[in-house]
Amino acid sequence: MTKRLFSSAGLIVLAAVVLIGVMLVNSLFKNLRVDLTEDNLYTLSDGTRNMLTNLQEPVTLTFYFTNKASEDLPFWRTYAKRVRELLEEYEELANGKLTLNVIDPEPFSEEEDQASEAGLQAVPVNLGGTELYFGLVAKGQAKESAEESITFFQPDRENFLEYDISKVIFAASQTKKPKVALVAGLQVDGGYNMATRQPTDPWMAVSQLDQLFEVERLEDDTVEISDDFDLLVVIHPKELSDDMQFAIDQYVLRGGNTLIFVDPLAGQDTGGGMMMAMGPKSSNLEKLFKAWGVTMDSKKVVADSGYALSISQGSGKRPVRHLGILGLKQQAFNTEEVVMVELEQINMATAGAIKAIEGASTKMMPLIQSSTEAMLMDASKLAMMSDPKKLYDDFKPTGERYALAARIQGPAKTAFPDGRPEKKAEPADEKSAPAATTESPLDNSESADTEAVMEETGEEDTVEQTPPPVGSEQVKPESTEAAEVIDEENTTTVENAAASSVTAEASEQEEPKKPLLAPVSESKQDINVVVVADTDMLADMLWVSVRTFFGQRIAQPFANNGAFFINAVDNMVGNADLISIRSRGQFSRPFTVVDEIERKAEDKFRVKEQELLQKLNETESKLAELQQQKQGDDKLSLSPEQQKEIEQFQKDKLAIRKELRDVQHKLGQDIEALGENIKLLNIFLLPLLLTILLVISRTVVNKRQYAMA
Amino acid sequence: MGKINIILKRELSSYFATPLAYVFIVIFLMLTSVFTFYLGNFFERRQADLLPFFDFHPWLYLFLIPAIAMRLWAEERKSGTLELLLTLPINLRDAVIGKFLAAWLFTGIALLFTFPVWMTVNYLGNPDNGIIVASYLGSWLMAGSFLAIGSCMSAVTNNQVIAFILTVVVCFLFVVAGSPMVLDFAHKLPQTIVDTIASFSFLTHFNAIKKGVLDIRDLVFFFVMIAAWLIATAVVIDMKKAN
Repeated sequence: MTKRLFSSAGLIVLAAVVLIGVMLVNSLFKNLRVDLTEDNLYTLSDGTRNMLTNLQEPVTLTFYFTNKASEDLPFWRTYAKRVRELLEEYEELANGKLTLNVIDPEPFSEEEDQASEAGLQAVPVNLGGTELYFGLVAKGQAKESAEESITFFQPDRENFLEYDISKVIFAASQTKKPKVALVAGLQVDGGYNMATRQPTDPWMAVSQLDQLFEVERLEDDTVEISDDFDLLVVIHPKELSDDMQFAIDQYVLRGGNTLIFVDPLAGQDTGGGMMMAMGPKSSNLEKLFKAWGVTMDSKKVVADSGYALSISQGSGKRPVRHLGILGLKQQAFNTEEVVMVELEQINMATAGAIKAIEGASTKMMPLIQSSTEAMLMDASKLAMMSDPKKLYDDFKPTGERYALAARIQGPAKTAFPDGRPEKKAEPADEKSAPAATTESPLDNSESADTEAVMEETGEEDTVEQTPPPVGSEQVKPESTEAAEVIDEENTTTVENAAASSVTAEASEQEEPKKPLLAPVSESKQDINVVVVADTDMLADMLWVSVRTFFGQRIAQPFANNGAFFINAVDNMVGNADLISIRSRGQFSRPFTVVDEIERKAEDKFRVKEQELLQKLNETESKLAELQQQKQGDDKLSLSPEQQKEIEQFQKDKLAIRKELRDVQHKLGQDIEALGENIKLLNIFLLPLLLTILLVISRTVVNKRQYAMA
Repeated sequence: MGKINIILKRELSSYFATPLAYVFIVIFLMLTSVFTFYLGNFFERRQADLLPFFDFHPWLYLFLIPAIAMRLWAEERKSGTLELLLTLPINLRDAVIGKFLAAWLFTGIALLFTFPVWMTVNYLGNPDNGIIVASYLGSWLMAGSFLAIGSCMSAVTNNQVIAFILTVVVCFLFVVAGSPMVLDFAHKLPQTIVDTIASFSFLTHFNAIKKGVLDIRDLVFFFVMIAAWLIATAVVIDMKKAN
């Protein structure tokens, strides 16, 4: 009796132990796991983990997916499941700083209104017209925090799923617009072109920057760049003061993200404008580059016949491919980098080559590379050149791919080991010195050379240089690349653009000066610098045509230079963690065998279709011929030849249509047959075969054992 | 360990001594394929993964595993060999573990024989084989839990049919604990209770492993389940012996 009692009690105790044990294990052992997926699909990158632990304020995520209506859409459901699981992963990692709500916006429901209020779009995903809400809204808790959203999870951005989600979470947790510091050695804000004696407009790329971020211009006498800036943009750093170089060096080493545009031959550098002193048009940050483990020869330009664009030689002459003016296509881009995704063409002019120094502590990752049909050419040759054809005389491709833009990451040491440079006497203001106009093909002048014809884009006139009224305010462009970027990337709104840009004059009236920070000799964390070896790419003439319409500047981009610039800025103002998130593995794994069968059949189908169309055209032209031959009273009636022709044509048409149907039918049949064979094999043949094999092997073993006994 | 081994070998060979094992394997292989291709629309989905294959494992095990487990102890008890077994120089623990391991290995063999499906998916596309390996492991662990429950139920009664039914009922409860029908029903209960119910679901843990992620919580859950039900088996046999 005692034993029985003991046993029954034992069972109850056992049940209690299991209950408590399982609950304890669930709460104690979080994140102890092995991800066996090929691309570590369920392991968020360190960048995301860091970002989540450093969120400025809690964020609420609302995931919208039309669950019920998607019952017959396994593809979308699987993808939605993947997204949802990833979001749950985020929630788990954020230690309570992230709350995930999942909403199924059924048609005509309150949830649907909510989804559409949040800016989400219902997208038709099949021919039946089923519309899906499949998006994400992130909202920070603070009142001033922006609501960020992914309006629709595009499956073709699946590789960047983690980046996209991390970005909206990061942006929602921010309470203010990112701050960007701008150092520009060119007249990016517009000015006066002495050669044409006309005022020039601000560059469209810089105008976009002003609209999206809080941009502050820094003068050359800057001694320190505050850590308050989320990004430093340097355009054409030509003969920068030691103070400024030191300030950049320190900013970078303190972990500041920096985007630099240098150029061996800057077409937009008019040297100040006047007629004299035709100085060099190159820019470089040699000293700093060296410290960061890269070099760029400011006397060499990349000539590339693989991407050379045709430029107009003036009226009556044939356009010529210019080895120094490049239309870089997707093959030139490192598509593993988020900033390069979805870009189709970037135009560059007389770009330099960035090279990694051997044994450097940093790592250089090319973003844009030349083709293998390229070589380095003396910049002076291009500066003095009047006929682009002459460039081919000395052109010998080296087979090497040159990096035209690159990201530099890793630990680095200061370029100023002796500390802060000593103050020198005020240098003479070289910039105000007069300079001559030059013969570069990219001068901002109205010469024939400047009318670079981007043949591939079909744009004959790239720029219409219609200046706005002097002193007029910059206006918000309609349908610009910027607007597209804003929509797609869900970044900050465009409003209050003018108010956000702080001029240098305004910054001068700031509060009393703060003490300077102590110099650092090496980076505490990896530096993050992007160097682009071309400044002309930002100038309007290489990527956007701007027209003035009733006082408004209308921009029509014909290349993705602007998108690249804003992408890069957008990517870098996030934080280093966000930047470190690379593309993820594949989620969709189609049946390649079936796809191949389909592809072949489709090819066949297309050939037949082509045949039909050709025959149709031929017959129609014959008919037209016959029609022309008709004269007099015959005009209204058909001749026997025409009648015969039409009959033949209709017969042919029917015959080919039948053939087309057969091909289509065959395509379905091939796939169906494959499916049936696979089913037959798996359901009957192989299970039976395997069991028979098992029986045989067992019998053999038994016989052997019997014989041995 | 040596004694466990002896029992394991004896039990395992006894499975293959009768046509029952082969019938079981044929049925298991055919049913998994039928479910995969017809209910799971494996071919029509055109996705190179084995989700439709593994999705049905819990439901298949619900009926097939009790069939293996029902004879573990009920038969011994009915034929009177249980007393004989317990008089041998082996202890109860060894007998329980040995018998369980033999049944578990047998289901493992049956599971391994489903490799043609894995070959098929590799022929049709490029599946993530890491996910497939994890799913197989998860499936086998789940089968172990079903067997451990079956072992205990078989010890409770000397009637195999009753053992089968009892096992199906208990296993069903553990499977549906995490399914929407139970969770939706339990929606009004406090979240902690709902989470606790869900945390005891085979389905929840198996689905987590099926993603390709081996989480310590899922693995520990299945091992705890197996261990607890095996201990319960021993306790029940001991209780019955006292009777």
